[in-house]
Amino acid sequence: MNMAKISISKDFSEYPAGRYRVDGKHSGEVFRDDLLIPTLEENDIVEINFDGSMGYGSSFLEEAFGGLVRLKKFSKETLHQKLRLTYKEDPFIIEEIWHYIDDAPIKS
Amino acid sequence: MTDEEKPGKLPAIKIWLDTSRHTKNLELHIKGSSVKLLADDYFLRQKRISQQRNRVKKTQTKKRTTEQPATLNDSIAIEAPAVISLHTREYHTQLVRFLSTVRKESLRRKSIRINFNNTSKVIGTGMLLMLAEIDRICLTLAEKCKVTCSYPKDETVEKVFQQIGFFNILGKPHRLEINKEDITVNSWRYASGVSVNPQDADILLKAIKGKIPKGYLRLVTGVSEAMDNAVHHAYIRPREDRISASGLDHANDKRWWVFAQVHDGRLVVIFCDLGVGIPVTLPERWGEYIGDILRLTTLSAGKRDMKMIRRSLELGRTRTDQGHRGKGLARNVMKAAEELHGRLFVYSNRGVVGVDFSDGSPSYTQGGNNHSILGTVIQWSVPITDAQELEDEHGQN
Repeated sequence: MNMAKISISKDFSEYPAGRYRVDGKHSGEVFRDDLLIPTLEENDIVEINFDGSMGYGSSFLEEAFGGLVRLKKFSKETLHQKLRLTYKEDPFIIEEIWHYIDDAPIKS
Repeated sequence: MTDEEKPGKLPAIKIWLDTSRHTKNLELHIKGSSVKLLADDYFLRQKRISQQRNRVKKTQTKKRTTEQPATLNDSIAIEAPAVISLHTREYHTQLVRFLSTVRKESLRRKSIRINFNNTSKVIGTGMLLMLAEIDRICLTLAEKCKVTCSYPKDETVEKVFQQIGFFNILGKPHRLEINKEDITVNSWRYASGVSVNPQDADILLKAIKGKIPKGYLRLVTGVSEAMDNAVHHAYIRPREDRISASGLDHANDKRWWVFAQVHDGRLVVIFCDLGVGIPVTLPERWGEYIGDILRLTTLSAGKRDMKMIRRSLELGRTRTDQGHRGKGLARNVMKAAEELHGRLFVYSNRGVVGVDFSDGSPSYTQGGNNHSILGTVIQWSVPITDAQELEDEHGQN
């Protein structure tokens, strides 16, 4: 079983923000397409650590995680099996991320 | 009873011209009453008089146009209000009028000098709005109009202008030293930018993050949320002022400005954008609009703006109809204020809505003003309790 770890502040940015690629190189879309999807495709378990950054806006989180389901990259069930999320600084955000995944509207 | 006298039937009108008299005047008879028609030469005389009057006007206008460039190229001194604030209707009107004059004159004059001699008090929300307006003018019209200012007589006001970078915008040297004793001044931090990148507010965010306890990180996030909102939603149309219409560079930048302060056990964040305002970005629901009409409330522009702000604070009201996008002002700021027993004030265009969660349940204050700030200023303040600080210290140990 393959396992990978992503520390957002170290592997991506200390200042993740924005929704779309046009918002900047640390946006949710960039994180999802360039880092998260390849890691999820190559590994059975992906552990993501959110600590150390300057916080996460809802646009970033929804696009990065809700976007996985909305754009049919992964199913909700697959993500529940694969993702391990930790955030000591603000544990409520983890609930919010699962909310974005579970409530994501799927494009027909 | 004749046909004419029957109720509900209009009487016939008899008109004839009386030309029997040997005068130049004619008489028009309309059923019993007569109207004197004046002779042709009367109208010709009036026409001649009016032509002469117009001729005088034209020459006067010509004279004025030759004088205009000479007077308008000169600099003008504009007096700033005694209190720079949005908190009362009076202060709101004074500040908005002052800023409107500065905007208007900046397009006509080569230089403007703002006189702060009478300014004795500055309040955060009003101060940020003034700074934002003048920063925008300086960025847009740097080549065309130079904005300078006098030093305020009040020392605290001068220190505030130094601390928040207002003097830097105007290129004014700093005269005073800000000490540790100036606790109401030295805790303010300022940032501004045109992107959703939080690095633009790095100093400010780090200053907040370093002073607030763990678990309050969402307050830092609130700032980047507000930036996101400003860049994506606030500037959907050009601002309704002449600078926007001028087509100059930076006139329609999607810029935001932010103040933050952690002081006396309270975090205060003030955010400003000069976009179209919440009442414009939030689509009005037809049902509500019709409801307003049915209630026979002839809403003033101020009250209408106030209602729209109030509606934006309700969960689920957003500009986009896309379910996954923009969770609205409620999701971003209101929820944080509610969870942390804070206070929130939203000024947008002519409206203002305040919500206080100090006692747990929300208590609202709201109003409509006569003049629009042509943008949005949001202030949220949250108590950082001793219990939280202790918890944080134990956590670190």
